[in-house]
Amino acid sequence: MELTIDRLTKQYKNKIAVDRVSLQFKPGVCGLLGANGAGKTTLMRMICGVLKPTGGTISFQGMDVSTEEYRRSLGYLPQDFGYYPNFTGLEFLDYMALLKGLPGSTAKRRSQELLDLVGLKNEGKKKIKTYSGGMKQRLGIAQAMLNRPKLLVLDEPTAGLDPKERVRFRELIEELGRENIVLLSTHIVSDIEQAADRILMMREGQMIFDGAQKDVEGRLEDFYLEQFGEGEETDA
Amino acid sequence: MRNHFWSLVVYEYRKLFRRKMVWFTLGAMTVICIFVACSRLFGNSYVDGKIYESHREALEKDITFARALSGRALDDTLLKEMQEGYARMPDIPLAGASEEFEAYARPYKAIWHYVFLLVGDPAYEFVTEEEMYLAREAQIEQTWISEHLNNREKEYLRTAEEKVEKPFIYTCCEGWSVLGNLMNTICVLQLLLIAICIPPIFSEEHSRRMDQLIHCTALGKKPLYLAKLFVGVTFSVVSTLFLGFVLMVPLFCIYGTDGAEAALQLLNYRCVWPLTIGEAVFILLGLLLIVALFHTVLAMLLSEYFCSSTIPLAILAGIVMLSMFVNVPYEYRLLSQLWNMIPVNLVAIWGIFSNRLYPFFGTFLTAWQAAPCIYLLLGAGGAVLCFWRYQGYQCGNR
Repeated sequence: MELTIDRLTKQYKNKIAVDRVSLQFKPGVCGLLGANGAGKTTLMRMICGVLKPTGGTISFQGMDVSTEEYRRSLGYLPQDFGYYPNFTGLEFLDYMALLKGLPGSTAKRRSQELLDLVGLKNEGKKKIKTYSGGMKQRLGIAQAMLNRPKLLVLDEPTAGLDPKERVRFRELIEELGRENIVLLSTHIVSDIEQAADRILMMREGQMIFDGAQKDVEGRLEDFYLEQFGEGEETDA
Repeated sequence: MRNHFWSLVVYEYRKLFRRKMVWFTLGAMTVICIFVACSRLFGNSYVDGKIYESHREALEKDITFARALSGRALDDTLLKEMQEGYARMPDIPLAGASEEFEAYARPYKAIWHYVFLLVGDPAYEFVTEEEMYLAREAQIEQTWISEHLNNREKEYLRTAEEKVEKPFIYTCCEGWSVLGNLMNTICVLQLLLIAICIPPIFSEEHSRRMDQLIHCTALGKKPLYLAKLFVGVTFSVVSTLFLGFVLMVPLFCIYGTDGAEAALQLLNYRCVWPLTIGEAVFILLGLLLIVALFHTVLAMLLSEYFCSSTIPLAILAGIVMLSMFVNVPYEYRLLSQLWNMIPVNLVAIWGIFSNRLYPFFGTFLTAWQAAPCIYLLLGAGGAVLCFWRYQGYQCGNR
């Protein structure tokens, strides 16, 4: 199982958001760090096929990013996304399962399973507009896992989660990363420190670090600040 | 995949009907239709400050008299009876409220009204059958001149006119006539309903930032687009039928259902097409449904292009307003014809059955033959454009 990114570039008028990035991913959790505007979200959007690259290719097990087969293997939690406020949590998951091509009976069972997994079992029949920010985020995580994705892309997944939920989420990610490719972007360095097997750092559209925990000398947070300069904002 | 399509349709309908605005708009349109259908019943006629009769009573009387004349040829005999009846009215102010009017003239009011349109006052008092039909022909010829028709077009229209049977058989067709005249109102209501309800089918995904989730799912591209298109078109078509039904039921209750077989010329005397009023109404209804499809695709295309539901609403409402206030003179032949092709101008007795012809491989198509093809082609083209836009949407510019 391999995700291959080859010389991936995204250029807006006068700005290069992602600059000739080439990477290969194998099963495991990969954490992506970078300051605001580094190009992390752009990179993730291109990996998910919702943003067309200016140049380069993305393929997963030989499938091009633009194909339906690729999308069938994909789970994505965007950084900022909305919901249908008048849908219940369960309805929302059923709808997303349908869009992901799950058969009806499987969709219902999987939706219930995931609501249970993200601690929303008792809230499944409540309308999303009554959910707190953390509950919405958990629902977002659940929808990303509906189709048991082989490639899971999570952009700021722990935003809005309380410490207890964050620990539970980290455990979940670690488990998923054993057999699947999990690409995780967050501004919380400790999440990556504990969950990621591989760490990527991005600055001005380019990869400035690609290595494992063991390649980092000392604490990851210190290493991160060192890469970006101590005075620089650390939000991704 | 087929089951998925229908499940997607169910979800799209669920999203649509959970918007309060959809229910509010449908409710408002229903009330407007009922009010428009019943509006002639409200109010009274006054003579010397006193109520002479209610509009409802007047309508009932006039329809009863008109029904008594149904089936009679509009010939010299009937014209003479009408003229004699009107000749017995006293030459006094407010003669229309006199006993003589009620007894002798009012039974022929429907005939008088038609003849008056053709020949005016005082010619109605002595016009013969031949003179009346000649006057009609003269008015039609005059229309052709003012519309800048060429000789080939005039010849084509003359051939059509020859097929219209004369003398006309007078038939009480008030219900069908009012329905035919109100088809334009339904078209305007339909456009507003579509402008309000349809754009969110696409734009909501952008405004709620659901687009990035949807576009990376297996069925989020073509199948979802087709489901959305299906929901938009079926909603518009069914709601148009619903509005037509809501208008039709009170109209037929008030005016009766008789007269579908009456010649269209009784409603629009300048018309040269050998059609009955019933056929004309069904043609208009069919056209309205095709227009629903066209308007839906237009609303969807605009909402997907602008990622907004407000801009399509403004544009479509602007089209309604412009069509009410702007009229392109016939001198600018092509421009005028194009302007008249705008559905809110065309879907009307006076629009679709006009004398305007469309050249087609050496012959001509009438507006009611050409318009459905044009709207269907534009609708299909719009749907392809919208799909192209939807498929290629990029979630990067936020």
